[in-house]
Amino acid sequence: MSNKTTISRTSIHLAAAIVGCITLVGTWLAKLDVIGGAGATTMGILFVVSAVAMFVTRNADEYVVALWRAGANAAFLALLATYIFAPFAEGFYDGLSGGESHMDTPIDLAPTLAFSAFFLAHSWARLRGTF
Amino acid sequence: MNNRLKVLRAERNWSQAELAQHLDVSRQAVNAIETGKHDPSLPLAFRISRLFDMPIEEIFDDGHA
Repeated sequence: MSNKTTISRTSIHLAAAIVGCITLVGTWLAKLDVIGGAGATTMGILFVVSAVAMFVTRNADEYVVALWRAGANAAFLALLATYIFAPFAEGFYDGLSGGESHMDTPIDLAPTLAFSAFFLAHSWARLRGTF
Repeated sequence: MNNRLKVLRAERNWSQAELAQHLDVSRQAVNAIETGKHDPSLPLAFRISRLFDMPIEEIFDDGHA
């Protein structure tokens, strides 16, 4: 891969990450009904485009790979926490307190939480280091 | 990890983009290494070492020397 291509793919990845962060905030605002309609749709489309662009350019060079790895690790951890640890903790608490009810853990937020964890970790690694 | 990449680059009057071109990485990667935000992989460290004709330990300092 030529250096010019590497630079270009890295720039695309980093620019897409910024767009992804902004549109993710928009997605949260849409979930909270702060924005809606065309605004929410536009945010969603931009988010998908930026996510695809980041995925396609995730191997641009070793720096981008390190950023992607930091984000992917955080997203995986967020999914584990939401799908496994949180329901387990809720069940354990309900069992102890005797207040058994239906599942209160908001599982439907898991994808958004995972994306948020990804972008937080990606941005953190970019600003503070890929360690 | 501390390194002398910025000094070595300045001695040759290279921009970050020029150094990136020599190392076949992005300018952003060079910037991240120079500012200590990214530790290069071993293959990249060897490429840097060969480019500046210096041993790796004279360019990078892990604080245990």
